[in-house]
Amino acid sequence: MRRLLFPLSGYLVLLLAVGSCVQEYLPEVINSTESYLVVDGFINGQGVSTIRLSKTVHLTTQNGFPSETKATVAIQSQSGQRYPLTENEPGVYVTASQQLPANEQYRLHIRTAGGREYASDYTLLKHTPALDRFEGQIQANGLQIYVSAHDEQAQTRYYRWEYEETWAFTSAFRSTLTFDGQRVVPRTENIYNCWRTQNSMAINTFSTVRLSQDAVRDYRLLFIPASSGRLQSLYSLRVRQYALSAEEFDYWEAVKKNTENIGTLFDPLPSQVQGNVHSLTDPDEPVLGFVGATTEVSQRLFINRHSLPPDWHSRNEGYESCTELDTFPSQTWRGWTLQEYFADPQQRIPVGRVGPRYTAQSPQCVDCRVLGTNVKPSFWP
Amino acid sequence: MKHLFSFLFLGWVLGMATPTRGQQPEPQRVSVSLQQAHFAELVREIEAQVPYRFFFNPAAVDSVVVTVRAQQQPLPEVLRQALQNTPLRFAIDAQNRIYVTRGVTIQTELPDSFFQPEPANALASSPDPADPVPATSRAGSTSAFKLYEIGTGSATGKATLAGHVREAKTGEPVVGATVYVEALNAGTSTDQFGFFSLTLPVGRHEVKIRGIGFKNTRRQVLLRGDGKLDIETEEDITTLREVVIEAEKDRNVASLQMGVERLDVKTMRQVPTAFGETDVLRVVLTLPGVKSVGEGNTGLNVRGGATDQNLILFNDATIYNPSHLFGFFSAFNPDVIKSVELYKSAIPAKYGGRLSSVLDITTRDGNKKKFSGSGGIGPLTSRLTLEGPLVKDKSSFLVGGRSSYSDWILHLLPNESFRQSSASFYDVSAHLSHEFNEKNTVYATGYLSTDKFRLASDTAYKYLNQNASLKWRHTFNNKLYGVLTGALSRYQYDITSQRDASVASELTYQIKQYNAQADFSYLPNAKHTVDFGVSSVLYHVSPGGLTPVGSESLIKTDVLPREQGLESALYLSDRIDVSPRLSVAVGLRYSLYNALGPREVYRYVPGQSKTLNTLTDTVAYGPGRVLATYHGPEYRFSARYSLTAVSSVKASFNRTRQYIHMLSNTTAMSPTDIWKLSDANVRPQVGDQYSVGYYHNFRANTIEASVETYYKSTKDFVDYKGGATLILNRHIETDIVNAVGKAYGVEVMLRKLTGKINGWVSYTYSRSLVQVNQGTPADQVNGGEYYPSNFDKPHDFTLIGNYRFSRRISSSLNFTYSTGRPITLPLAKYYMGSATRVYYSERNAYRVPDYYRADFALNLEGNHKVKKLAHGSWTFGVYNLTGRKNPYSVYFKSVGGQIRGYQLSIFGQPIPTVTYNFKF
Repeated sequence: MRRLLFPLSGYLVLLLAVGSCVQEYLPEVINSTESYLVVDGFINGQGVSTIRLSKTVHLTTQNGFPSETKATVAIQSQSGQRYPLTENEPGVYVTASQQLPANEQYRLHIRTAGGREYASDYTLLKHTPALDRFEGQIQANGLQIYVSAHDEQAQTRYYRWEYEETWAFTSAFRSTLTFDGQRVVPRTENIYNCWRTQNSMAINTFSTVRLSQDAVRDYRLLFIPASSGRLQSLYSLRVRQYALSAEEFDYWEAVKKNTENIGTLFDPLPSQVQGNVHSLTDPDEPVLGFVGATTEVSQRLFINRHSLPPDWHSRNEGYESCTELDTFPSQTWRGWTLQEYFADPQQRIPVGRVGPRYTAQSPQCVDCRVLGTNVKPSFWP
Repeated sequence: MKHLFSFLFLGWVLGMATPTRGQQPEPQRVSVSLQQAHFAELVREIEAQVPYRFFFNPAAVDSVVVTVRAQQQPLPEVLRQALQNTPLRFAIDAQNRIYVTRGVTIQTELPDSFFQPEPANALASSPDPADPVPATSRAGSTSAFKLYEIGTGSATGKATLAGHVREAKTGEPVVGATVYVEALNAGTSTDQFGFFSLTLPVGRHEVKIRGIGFKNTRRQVLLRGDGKLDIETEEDITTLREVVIEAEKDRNVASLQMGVERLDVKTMRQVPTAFGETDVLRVVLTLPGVKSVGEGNTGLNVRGGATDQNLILFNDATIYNPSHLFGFFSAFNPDVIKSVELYKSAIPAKYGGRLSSVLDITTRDGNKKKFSGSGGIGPLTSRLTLEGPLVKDKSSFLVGGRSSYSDWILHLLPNESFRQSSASFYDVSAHLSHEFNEKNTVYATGYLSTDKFRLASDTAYKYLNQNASLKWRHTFNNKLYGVLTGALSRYQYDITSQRDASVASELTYQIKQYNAQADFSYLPNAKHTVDFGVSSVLYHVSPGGLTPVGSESLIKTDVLPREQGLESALYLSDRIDVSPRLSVAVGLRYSLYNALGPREVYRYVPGQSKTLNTLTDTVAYGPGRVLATYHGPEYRFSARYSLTAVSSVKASFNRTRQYIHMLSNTTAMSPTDIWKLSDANVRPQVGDQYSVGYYHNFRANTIEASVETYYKSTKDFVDYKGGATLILNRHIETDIVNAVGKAYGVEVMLRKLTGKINGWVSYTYSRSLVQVNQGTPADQVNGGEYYPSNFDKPHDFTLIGNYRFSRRISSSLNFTYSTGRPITLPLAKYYMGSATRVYYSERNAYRVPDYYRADFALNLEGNHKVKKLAHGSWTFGVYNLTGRKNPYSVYFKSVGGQIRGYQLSIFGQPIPTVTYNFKF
């Protein structure tokens, strides 16, 4: 017993393996049949105001978000001016390009097809200052995009940025042939070179209230890893800067806390975010969204592959599994006719010809339009 | 050896013993080496070496085998070793005769005072308090048979017997020991200084002393007048079965207190913990009515109260953050702690300043007789405590330290972000006590704890608790004593962020508290115990400062103005034993709070929601000027009525006021929470609690049962508007709302204190609800309806079970179940700003999955030889035996445009631990 109790009076072997883990959590579906109006957009003091009206859906719904169509939407000024919006695609309402008088309070008024009325709170039109600097900087493992701005009058204080990325890419295999239903013929349309555009999903806000100047220096807008497929030839980034009111800033901060910042031990509890749109028909009805009034400042940046370090190897994202080409005719396809082989264009597309044989692959590997568009954007050089 | 004396075999002794006093000759030394030998062999060996003769009944020693190995050791020591694991006892008389008996020990001498009382006995002291105390009384009375004559004077009437109960070995006071005279049904218990005062009719009494951790004893007293009797108790070395939770067996039924839990450090040691180290707060969490939002969190929610509503005292100094390392460890070194008392309903009038509970942690006093130490080696931390006398029998010191090596472990983990992280802590406690004379004793305590952690290399957190307290206890006379206490508490944290040079900054927070208080206890007669006193607390809060770090930083220094407040209170309480069946305690505490300048106070449009839009005026107050005053009575009432000898009913009513609030918008208690003082815009919290309980003991007080119910209402406690900003907010009142709370519940508990199987089972049903129904609709939470608080967990079941296989091996099994805590869940998703986002439910409308966990521990003790270099014990434990993945936090994240829910389990698999504890 004594020997068991007192082994070498030394240290212990540590048996601890910290057993923390993160698991997916799927609570029983909350079966609320309620669906609430979502108002997304802002009152643009200089240009086209675009407002999207949609409805909320269940968390488990796979489909998209239903649009709120055929509503009557207008911007109203406190002095009684009315600037109507028209629906140019389902749920998307736009004004003509216009300049709204400054130093005026504006709100958005909505009457749905169902006759329910909504309005945002009146808010003073803010003026967005110009961008001082918008550039990328090469770092060890990727490209850091910074944005800087300032307001000498110190009137802005709250900033928000949205960005839109566009990059040129190619599919895994360049197809020179197409199947017209009977025969394989030369392809005329380029489905190898495409462009892809993606909007920012993160909320980028910054406040200079705690700084001695109303100046944003090198705000880290976005980081592109060296291996990103975006940097394979030419990459373009367009940033849109908005000045915010304090309330709108708080609103975006709250949205950010709810959807992005939750997960570490000390993060705040999620909360029901209150926007500034209210139902005039039923004050208790929740309405989601915040309609601010501001102007937009935007700038575009191009980054060429040649200006980046040569040892950065970008993965061709989306084409990782496209390694080999199929061959026809071959042992595998014995007994198949050419027509049978190429019958379903969702299955395979001819790529090229090697002697008497055709090579082929799935459209996911060959047709770049699956991931983007082969229509060159207007701004592309 | 003296602990073996338990029986007086009178006839035997009378026939043969010649009293020999004081001059015991040096015992002979012998060398014996026997392995599993027959007892007769031992006799032969010893009789061959020394001129001693054995006397025994051959039938009694038959089949007894002995093992002993001794080289030139004193004879009694050799015998003790040889017989220690046998039922045999021995005694040696002056004529070199050794009596070996089975079960009982023979008394070879008569007590000194056997035939006549000795009036000149040193233990008697005169009733005049000014008289010098005889030096010999320091040693205290040790004999159960001697007759002690106390006082001089009249032969009739009543007299007060007072004194201290101390441990003979260390000189430490024994707290909560019962001192009583069974025949008169009169008794009392010792206070935190081991002091007791008992008023009895003059005459001869047998005073019994009973308690935990020492052998129950008694004293024969001839009481002639007021006097002093100091009692020394012997450590109960052989028994390991103490799992005693309360000092008195019938305390459950007989004590006046309700809603009080007293935990002894021995009890706490048996409860398995995640990291193998005894954790005071984690054991407190197993008690009925005490909950926490999640595991790895030491924020206590007592009877539906918030985590800031507990007054945590460490030797009378307030501790603001009682945890280490995100709350995985409590900030108290188990080796220096003597006991922990939690008051959750009838809070004594002496305590105030927090709504829900008082957690009073007291340290041991340090060994006054000899130098000793103890410590432990665990998987994440190690600790060492040293203690000893400074002046023998008069003053002692106790110093304990604990440090983590978690940094080292983090770096071993196969995860990049863990390796860039660091986490470490240490704490040091020191305690000194000095007895100037019988009437004056001084105690000094210092405490320091520091935590540092850095998460994935960019933000470093550091926090620090510093406490000091000085107590002077003065005994005026047998009936009155007072304690003067001065204490200082400081808590601070700083967070340094250095990721971006342009916004590199340091955020600091600090609270300092200066306490002064005088407490008196007056025991006029057996029916009354009067406590009264006065206290004052001065607070200094630096609510936050942001300063730039580095020359490139654009951060503008932003330091919030300091807040000051003075909280003062007067109290008086009396415990009245109306009849043997009925006791009542009435108390009144009157507290007064002044918020002090210099400060700028914002004024808002009255009756409107406080926002920057309703801010109308700023008023500046000069230094020391009072900017707001709040005051009010705090009633404390409790009563006990004994239905039978084993059952009673108790009731209590309590009002408490709290002038300091913790601001935190996280569910878990976090080190970065801010304490805010009441001021012109933030009112104090007031809480009322009513509770009624029924108590019943079964099987000769070995099984205790209790049912307590309570209803609690709270007003003006702090809740937040959605998305509130709490840090560096100059007008925090615009982000917080005054909430109304109510909580109610039933707590059922069954405890078995002794036997091979012991432990407790408790079940609690409780609710804790909050209502925010004032101001504009935007301020209201959930439309102004009552909603569950963050810690509303209606069902809670706890089992703490210990099973003792033998004196050396014991095991412990814990089981805990509770309803999942409330959570705000996402209800719908929507598309905005190019991403899918979530629309959340009303606050706390849903619950996380239920919590349950089982833990197991096995304690192996070394042998129980009294004399050896060090006593060691091993604890092997498995925390979360079933590996259940209890959610610590549940959260939703937008990943690639999809909303996904995740649950984080901190201890998601069984965690084995090994700890080695030692004592020397």
